[in-house]
Amino acid sequence: MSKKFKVVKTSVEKVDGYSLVAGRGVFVDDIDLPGMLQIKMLTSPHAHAVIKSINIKKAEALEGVHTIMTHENVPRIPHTTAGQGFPEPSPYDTYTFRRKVRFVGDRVAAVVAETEEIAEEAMKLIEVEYDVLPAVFDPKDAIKEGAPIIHDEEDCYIPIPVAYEPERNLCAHVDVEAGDFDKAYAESDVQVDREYYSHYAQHCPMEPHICIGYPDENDRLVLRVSTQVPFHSRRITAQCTGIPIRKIRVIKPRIGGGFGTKQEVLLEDVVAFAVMRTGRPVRWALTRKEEFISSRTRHPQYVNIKIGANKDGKINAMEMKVLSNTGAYGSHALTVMSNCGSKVLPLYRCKNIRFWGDTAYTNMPVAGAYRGYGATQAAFAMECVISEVAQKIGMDTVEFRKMNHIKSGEGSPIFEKLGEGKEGVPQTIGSCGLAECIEWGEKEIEWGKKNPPSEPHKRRGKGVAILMQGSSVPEIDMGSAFIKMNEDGSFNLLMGATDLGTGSDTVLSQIAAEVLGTTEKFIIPYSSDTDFTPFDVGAYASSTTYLTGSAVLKTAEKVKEQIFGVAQNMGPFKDCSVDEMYLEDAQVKCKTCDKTISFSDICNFAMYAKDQFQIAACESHITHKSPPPFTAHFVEVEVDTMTGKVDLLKYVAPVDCGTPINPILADGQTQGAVVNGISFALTEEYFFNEKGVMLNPDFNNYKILSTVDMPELKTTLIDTYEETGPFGAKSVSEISINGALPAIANAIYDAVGVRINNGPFTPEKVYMAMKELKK
Amino acid sequence: MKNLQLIKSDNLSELLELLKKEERKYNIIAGGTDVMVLLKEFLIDPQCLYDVSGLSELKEILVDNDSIEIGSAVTMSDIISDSEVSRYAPVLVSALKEVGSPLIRNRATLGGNVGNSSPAGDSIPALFVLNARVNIVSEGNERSVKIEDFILGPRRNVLEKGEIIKSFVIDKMGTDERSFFLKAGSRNALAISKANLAFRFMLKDNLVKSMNLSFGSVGPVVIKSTMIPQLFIGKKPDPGLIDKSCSLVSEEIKPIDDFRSTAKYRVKVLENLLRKCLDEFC
Ligand SMILES: Cc1cc2nc3c(=O)[nH]c(=O)nc-3n(C[C@H](O)[C@H](O)[C@H](O)COP(=O)(O)OP(=O)(O)OC[C@H]3O[C@@H](n4cnc5c(N)ncnc54)[C@H](O)[C@@H]3O)c2cc1C
Repeated sequence: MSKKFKVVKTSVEKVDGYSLVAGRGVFVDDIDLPGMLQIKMLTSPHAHAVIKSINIKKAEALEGVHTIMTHENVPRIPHTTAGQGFPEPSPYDTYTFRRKVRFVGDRVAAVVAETEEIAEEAMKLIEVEYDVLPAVFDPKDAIKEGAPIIHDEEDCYIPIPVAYEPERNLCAHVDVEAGDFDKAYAESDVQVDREYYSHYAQHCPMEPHICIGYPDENDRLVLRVSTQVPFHSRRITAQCTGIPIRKIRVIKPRIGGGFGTKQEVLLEDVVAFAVMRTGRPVRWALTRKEEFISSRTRHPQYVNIKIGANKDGKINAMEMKVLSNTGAYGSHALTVMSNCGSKVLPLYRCKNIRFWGDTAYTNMPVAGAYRGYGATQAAFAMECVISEVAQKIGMDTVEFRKMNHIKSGEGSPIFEKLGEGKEGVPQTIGSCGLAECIEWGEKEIEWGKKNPPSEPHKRRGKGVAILMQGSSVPEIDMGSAFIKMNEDGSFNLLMGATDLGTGSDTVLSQIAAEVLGTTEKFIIPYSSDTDFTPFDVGAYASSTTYLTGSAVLKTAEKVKEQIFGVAQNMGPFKDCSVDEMYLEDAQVKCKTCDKTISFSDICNFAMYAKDQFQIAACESHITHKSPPPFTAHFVEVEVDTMTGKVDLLKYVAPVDCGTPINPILADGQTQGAVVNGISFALTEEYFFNEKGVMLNPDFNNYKILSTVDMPELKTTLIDTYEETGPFGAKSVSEISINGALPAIANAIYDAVGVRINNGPFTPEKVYMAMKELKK
Repeated sequence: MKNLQLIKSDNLSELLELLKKEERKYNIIAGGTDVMVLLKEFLIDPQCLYDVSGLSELKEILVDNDSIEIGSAVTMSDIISDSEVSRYAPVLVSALKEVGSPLIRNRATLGGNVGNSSPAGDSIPALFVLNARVNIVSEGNERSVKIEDFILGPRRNVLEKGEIIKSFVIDKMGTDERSFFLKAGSRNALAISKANLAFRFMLKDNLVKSMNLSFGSVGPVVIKSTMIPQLFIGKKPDPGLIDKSCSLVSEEIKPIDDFRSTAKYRVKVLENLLRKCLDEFC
């Protein structure tokens, strides 16, 4: 299974590591252009209201104010902010500015001024009269008859043929069935039917959204954006502003994290309009508060699971019903909801499966893509219910999982039925290290062994969750790469794929180096710039290594052929056949004779000697499968029965991601995702008042975990080889965020006997669940 | 941010003189760990800040026969690492160790924690059980008030214009006395208390000789328990008394619901924290 590699599967230094730690990495905000103006956005104080009138006269008159944009003076073009392939599976329900505001934090007017301070002063001078409308906050209420209609405008639509009924706040709907769920469920010995709720959360990247725009010397618009999707950014900016694509250049410099929130085109339209109107460079950066309120969140969801099983432990029937809350706009509304089914249901072998998903509009903050993308929410419900079913049967919860989980060579009807806005793609599982993950985790956590608590009023417990994700969106996503050779034997590797701190520049350089028989030090990666790098859908859907990695591999193969071709034209290799040549140590070598030619000689020959040409290639890749990575998370907790506080003692996360191209980076993704998940499970929470205002939009009151909160964390990479991936790789970045909610919930149950069906597991919630308090 | 003047001096009388003459809206600043947050959230709107962190008179720890005087501008880290405070006022050290994170404790001062007068200030219940007195100075004047009289309400205290806190005088605990500080928060670092308590007592011949108890984060100000010590003093603690005292908690505190926690939870948790302390001593 395991293959021998030279550069791949080694933890080479991150190619941008040194410059980042030395503070030399250049981020969007690290440039200061002469005459740069600043944008501040006036946002809605109401959850649902019509702007009756808006008067910008006084504000415009303020010295230092250049222009103010509102729905009255900016074209109204329906679009989605979701950075997805075109046509997007998200409704066109958003306009740069709108007459109706739909959540607290919705855009009202953008002030462009000399400084942020002046813009803020001007904001106070804008007079807005609102007609406040009744608002609806819970998706269950939103889809009831008589609820206030959030998108009653006539020009919103979804550009693909799927269910979309804004007239009843239904933003998306999917239902599929394989076999006969009702019959199989009714006939099962054991039935469990439970509803879980997963809550609001924000991605909290270190760097909030930011965009700097300026006209270049040819009057093209240049946008430096903190984005995961530079090409979608360019396309959607063109759509909103009417500027032709050829006149827009999007640059993605170093990025300070995204986790999905930057798979959105959130600032570019306004910055583009501002540059067009003023002819000056313009900067718009969100504050942390704006990031919480007005950017994107995870989709809160109600997930109802029904499972029917036989006494012998076989699962007969599974049903998942999802009610997702997309907030005021439908970014990723359909696909996140579908993903609940497609990334969670196939994990268990079962013939009778039903999936039912609705996504509702509400007057709440707008949800979007967030690491895990529905799988996080659904796995919480699924993995808790699976444990409950096992307990009802009287089986150990790990044994039950071992008996029922999918294995290599098996498929699931769900793969075929549930896709992204259309039917899915049938597939059988190739590589699968899930059994090994479970085995490793069981040993590491000492499954079955009950440890004594550290103090008498505390209780210990252990919990498990098993998980899968995917690697890119099959038949939809495309990545490409361009490689050219230089005289010193180095190669430029240009990619539309976006490294946002993930390390993809390093991983993709390693793939190129492996094919080209050189080291990553001789690869010069560059990502991304729509003027110079070839198209890539961007960094999402756990796709970069698997999808763009394959494009890089193919491109490098093409370059390799050209190198062989040149070698054959050069003296020493006249008599050698291409079949006998290979690349090693930055040289062309031959299997039969012991002659070599250096890359440098090859390139100099190609450029300067004879039949001159540039050794270069560009290849693209789409995938026909989305091979899942697998993991099994185990956790031991200690619950304080006096306060309800849950302490994590140990967290174990072995992951099968196929070949880890760079093991340390892969492990880093796992560790980061686990902490992200624990933080979501234990402390992260949005608080709203009855008017839909978020009360805690800062890190003082929205708690993310810190170093001292870290449990002992054990991760490992389980070796498998995915035949369809570059050098056997599949994805790693999302999967491990999905484990903490269910694994910790299961451990709390093991410790104190309560099942908590909504996060986060705060001391209050756990305590109150423990003691049904009488008031 | 608008213009804000920072006035810093290393001479106490000079600063007090300037303060007396000051006609603009001002705030005192020490470590700034509250002030900077308040400024950012527009909860205060001063025109100038008087920085007391450079005043050596405010940075001393003096140990006497039966009391300790701690300067208001001594940082929490310095108090925690002071061996005499650790020995004679361990309950204060336990409370300060619960504050924020090492970074915060390196800047935060005791004067700031009390000056901020938040019901969640972790040092305050400890100062209560140590019978702390607050020494206040102004140009040409000095006065001293009991800690429980110093704080008037959430972020309100008796300081008048021109006055600053100079120091705190606390009891030196005897070697036969014991104490606890317990806090319920949501995570290990940088968590504001949902509820906390400080507890100090002495047993002699199995009888409770003295007991001081106070609760934080469960009312508009830190609360000094009177009923519970009364119940115990002069008696031998037993499970019956403990049950009874726990049931008194809800009568002594007035917690509120906020997004950090619910009132119901705060009462329950305090009862439990108290039970934990009391179980220790019988
Ligand atoms: C991230 C974070 C976490 C925190 N965690 C905790 C925690 O766990 N527990 C806790 O109790 N607190 C916590 N705090 C609050 C804060 O750190 C403490 O209240 C600290 O003691 C304030 O001290 P300071 O010197 O920084 O005060 P400053 O911010 O300088 O001042 C605070 C107040 O006291 C007044 N003041 C300061 N010195 C004097 C003086 N000598 N005379 C008169 N008035 C004065 C100021 O005018 C101001 O009103 C936290 C704060 C932050 C930012």
